[in-house]
Amino acid sequence: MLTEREYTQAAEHYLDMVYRIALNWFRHPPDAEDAAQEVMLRLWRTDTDFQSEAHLRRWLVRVTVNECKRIALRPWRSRTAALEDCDGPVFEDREKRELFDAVMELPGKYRVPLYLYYYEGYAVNEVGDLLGLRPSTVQTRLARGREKLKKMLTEE
Amino acid sequence: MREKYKETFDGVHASQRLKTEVMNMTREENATRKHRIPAAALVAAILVIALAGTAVAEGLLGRVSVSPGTSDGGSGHTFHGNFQTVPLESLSEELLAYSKSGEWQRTLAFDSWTEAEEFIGVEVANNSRLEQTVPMESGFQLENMPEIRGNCLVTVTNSQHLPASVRMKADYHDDNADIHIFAVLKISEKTMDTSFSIGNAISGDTWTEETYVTPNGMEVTILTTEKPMTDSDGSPIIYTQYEASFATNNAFFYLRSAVGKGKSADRVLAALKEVLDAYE
Repeated sequence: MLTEREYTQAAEHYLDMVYRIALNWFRHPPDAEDAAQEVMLRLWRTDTDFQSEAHLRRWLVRVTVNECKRIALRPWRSRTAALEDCDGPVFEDREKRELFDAVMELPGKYRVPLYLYYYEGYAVNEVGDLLGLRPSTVQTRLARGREKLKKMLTEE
Repeated sequence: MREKYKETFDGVHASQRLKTEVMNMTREENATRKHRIPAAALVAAILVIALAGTAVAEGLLGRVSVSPGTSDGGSGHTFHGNFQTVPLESLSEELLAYSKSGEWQRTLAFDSWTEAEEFIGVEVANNSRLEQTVPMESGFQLENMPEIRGNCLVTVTNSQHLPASVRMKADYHDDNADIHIFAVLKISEKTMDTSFSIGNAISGDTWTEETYVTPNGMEVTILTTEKPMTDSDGSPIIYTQYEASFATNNAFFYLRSAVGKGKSADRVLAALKEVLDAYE
């Protein structure tokens, strides 16, 4: 169980990561915020004895993915959010805005593997382990996601 | 692509409202959290008081239970054990001085288990079998930090400039098996939680649980996990892993050994039991 200080440090360090994973899952900031808040509450309450920083980070990724799956099953939640309804982050740089929009337009199954691989730096087999997918499936999703992104960005 | 992607998502942050709520969560939740004593620890504590017999109490504390597929966010097995905490005054001056640095956690490397125990100030366990076995150097690395390598790694987790828990990790090799050993000590003044759980790295397709009693009466939970896999040449193989867990008076132990290619499962298990039998 984390002390208050440990929890605060972990929250300061990892809240953005948790939120980004959830945003990639839902594309919808209010749902992403719900998921992130629930994950941080679970972190505060957990009895898990974290063996290292990497263990904590991995735990947070897995719990976030599980929480997103749970929230997605809520009967009152609209399963898919229309892109135009999503108040995403504000980018001053046009190139970044286009890339972010293109990522958000990708089918859901590509977005989280891409984030864990590109941004968090997990290897293909680690992404598979975190998401419960075979490494070959992750490899395929990464390749197709990249391909689709390139196509969308070239068309723009 | 990776760089552009990273730069883009660098600009994605949780809202200030969410940050504030998450930081305030501890205040709102503190009241309930403080009273949430783990059921297993409570049962153990009540039994210790009620029985007031050291021999019986030690036996109850030493038992370890296994829950398959229940670790947070994971699908592996989780071992739960209860053990007594270590009083702060038992720890070495060196460890206490080290904890005053203010770091949350740090891993240190030692040449041997005994040397690590000397640093901690507590004799965690004597094992004559392991003293004759070749230690294997292992490494630990935090992101953006140089790797720490040694025959016994000690991770100290601090809370308010005092040690809250100490973990030891050592790997050993002999002709029959590689055995990975992990032990954790919790410090009395910093925790009420006398339980420990460790999630297994693999989710087994089939598994069996055995309670093994060593010659000196120590009860050990041994879990055998068998997982069908494909070899590099495409042929089907069964991956077998043994995990043994027990709690002593002051530490939780977890030993793991997998059956490598060309190794005999019986010999690996026999080697693991030889090590368990040698714990005093």
